Amino acid sequence: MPQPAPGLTIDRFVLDMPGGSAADGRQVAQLVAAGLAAAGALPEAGDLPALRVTLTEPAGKDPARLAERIVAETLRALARSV
Amino acid sequence: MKAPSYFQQIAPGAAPNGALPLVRPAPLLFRPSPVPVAFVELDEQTPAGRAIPSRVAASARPPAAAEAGPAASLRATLAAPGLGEPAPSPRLAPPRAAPPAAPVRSEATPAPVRAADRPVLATRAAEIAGEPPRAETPRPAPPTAVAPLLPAAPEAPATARPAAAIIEAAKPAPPQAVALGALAAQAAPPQLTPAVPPPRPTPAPARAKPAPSVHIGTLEVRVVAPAPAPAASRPAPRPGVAPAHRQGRPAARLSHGFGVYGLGQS
Repeated sequence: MPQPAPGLTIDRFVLDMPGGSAADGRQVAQLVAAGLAAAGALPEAGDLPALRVTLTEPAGKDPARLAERIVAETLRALARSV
Repeated sequence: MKAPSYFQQIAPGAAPNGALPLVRPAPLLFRPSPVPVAFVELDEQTPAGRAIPSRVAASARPPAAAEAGPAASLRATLAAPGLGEPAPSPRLAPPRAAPPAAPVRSEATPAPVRAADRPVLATRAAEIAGEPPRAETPRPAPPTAVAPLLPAAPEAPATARPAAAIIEAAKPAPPQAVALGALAAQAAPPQLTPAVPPPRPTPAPARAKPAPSVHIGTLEVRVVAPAPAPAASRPAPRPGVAPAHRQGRPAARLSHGFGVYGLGQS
């Protein structure tokens, strides 16, 4: 029986992106969720009440690039926390 | 020839060949329960089947019993040893000749009811006294008042039954044994269906091991803009050009016009 792949559950996602519109924020959030779901380097298990990631990115950049950076920083912080 | 034993001496009638047993288990009086017998009741009869005359009993009765009357004699008889025991030793009551008939006549006022029991009592008393039974019949009957009252050959009393039969009759038969057995045979046991065991809780199928997951309550991402470039300041002085100092220049002359034009010009 194959072992199911570990999952990641996020109850609440807060994106603070100054200089951007709501549509930009929604798009970035969807891209971040897809990026985390497709990530394969998740830890076995863990329960974190909150995880905060801060990155410096000039406003007006490409949302996909911004989402990739957010996913990478989240996985890195997750690996440090769990 | 072997000398006769003491028992044969005191009881010559008790021949070893069994002509007349001296003591035999006598039937018991009726007892409602199988209580251990505390007395022996003998029913002696002559070989001819005739009961012993009552006069022998009267003559063999102990003096005390004779004085007390028939009731006392009965009590003395009932107080005899237990069933199966041999007759008491004759040393207690040595054999003696027939007593005079006078005491017998004086006390012999038997009631009709006592007449049936008298042979038994007489025989027992005679055995206690150690007299051989055969010595009774040939003796001529003296003219007594008792003899005419008693029948010549009283029928065998009820106590003449075998002791075993009386004991068996006295034993209370189990009255409910047959009835209970019949009832038990007729009564059909209730059809009891075997208790159905409660359904066992089926073990829950082995749950699939929950997939490991990572739970994050709140993911907060803050994107900050990079710091703005520092504002353009006045251009720094060129390092190679040193500022001109006037330190090498001499201070301005203050008294420039005073010395030339002054006093003396008048």
